[in-house]
Amino acid sequence: MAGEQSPISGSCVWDAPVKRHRSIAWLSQSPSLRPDAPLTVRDLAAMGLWARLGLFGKPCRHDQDRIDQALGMVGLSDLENQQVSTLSGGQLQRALFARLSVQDCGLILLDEPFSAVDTASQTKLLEVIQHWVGEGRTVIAAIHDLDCARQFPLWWELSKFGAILRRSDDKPLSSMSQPLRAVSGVAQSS
Amino acid sequence: MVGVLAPFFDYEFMTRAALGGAALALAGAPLGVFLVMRRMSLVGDAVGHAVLPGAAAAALLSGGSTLWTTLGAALTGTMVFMTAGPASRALRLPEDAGFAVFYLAALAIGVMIASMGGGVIDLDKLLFGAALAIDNTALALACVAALVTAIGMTLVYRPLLIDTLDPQFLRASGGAKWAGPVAQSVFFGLLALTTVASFHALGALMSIGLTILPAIAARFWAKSVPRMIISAAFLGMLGVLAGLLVSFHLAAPVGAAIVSCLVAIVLASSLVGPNQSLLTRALGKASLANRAS
Repeated sequence: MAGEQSPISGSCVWDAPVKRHRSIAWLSQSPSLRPDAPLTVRDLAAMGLWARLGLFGKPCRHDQDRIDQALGMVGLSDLENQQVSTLSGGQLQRALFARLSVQDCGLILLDEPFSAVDTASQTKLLEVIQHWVGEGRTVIAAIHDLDCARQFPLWWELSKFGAILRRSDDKPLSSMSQPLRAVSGVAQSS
Repeated sequence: MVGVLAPFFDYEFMTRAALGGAALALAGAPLGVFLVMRRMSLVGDAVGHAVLPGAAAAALLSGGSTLWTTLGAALTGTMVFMTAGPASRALRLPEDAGFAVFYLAALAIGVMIASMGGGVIDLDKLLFGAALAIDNTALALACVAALVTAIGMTLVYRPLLIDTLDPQFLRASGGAKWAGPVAQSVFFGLLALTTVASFHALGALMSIGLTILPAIAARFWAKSVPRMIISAAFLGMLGVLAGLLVSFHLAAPVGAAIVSCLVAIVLASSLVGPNQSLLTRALGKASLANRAS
């Protein structure tokens, strides 16, 4: 769905009503960020502006506010000048969520977002997801922990081979004609 | 202080060597910082060695012309760089193993070609460089490398940084799709240019030293990437000047003297630099222990 691989069959269509929400933000299970990256937490969040600013664009006041807001939302405002390499797993995941927030995309895909995260961070991240949904974004997450997945307004429980075992309602998801394979739980909130 | 620097003003060959070395240090600084961050220090070294056969063959055919030697060096350096990666993948070898085969082959062939000239070619010069005999063409090449690298790295800085630190994000973030591959090509092109430009001063064996060593030392002085680049440029120039003076006073081979001084700077930085050096880590531990007790 992130556009990294072409589907085996079927197709994915993502059509956002708001133009700036057209693009897709994606966080994979094992982030490719180098653990020793010489970046501060704020730099990492600011990376989310890349798609919009390009090679030379300067972040405007509004962009800076958005970074502040994103860091506040994940509870990392105090650590914004700390090096990424010094963060714990949960803090790093929160910083990556701040970057997703700064990206300002209409569709956010999360693969196992809570797999290496402490309970406190998980609660915080669930709040962030709720906030995104409140802003009119769509969040799709693949989650192994079924109890956690059932906290989402809409969830599907999938077998290893992609068959739907159980789901929270009967609404068809027309855009998901080829559901994520090899996951035991897919939760969506919109 | 001025007395120490006097040889640079008194002897033209020292002035030229200092200018050339400083230009190479400027060109190498941003490239080295990115090479180290990408964990490619040794790949850079392998490419440096790979310039030898082309340089030797061109020197043999052209009677030692700087321009032709440079072009020959660029040709084989680029060839090894372009083929070693794909060849290792095709043979299912680890990438560094592929580079080892290619650069050893390049060194061996280069030495054999150089010896075919029957003493016409100065093999020492090809292997270890001749920073004190740097001619106008080589000096101009060093200045061009510094200028072009500064411009090129400014252009691709952002995508290259994201590609280096989080390649997946660069592909998936919705930015321009060409940004990552273009940034990489520009980076490796500039690296090839600077390696070839350094070849005249430091020779095939140590040409990457002026790029890599200051960047490694800079990690102990700066936390952010821009500051690392500035530190690397400064430390590189310091190493060049110190090396030239050591070579001048002790009549030591100049390339080896410069690289030794750069290594000394790395060691000193790792001991007392303000960022993550042994000293600051020991102090940090001591203050933690104090707080605990």
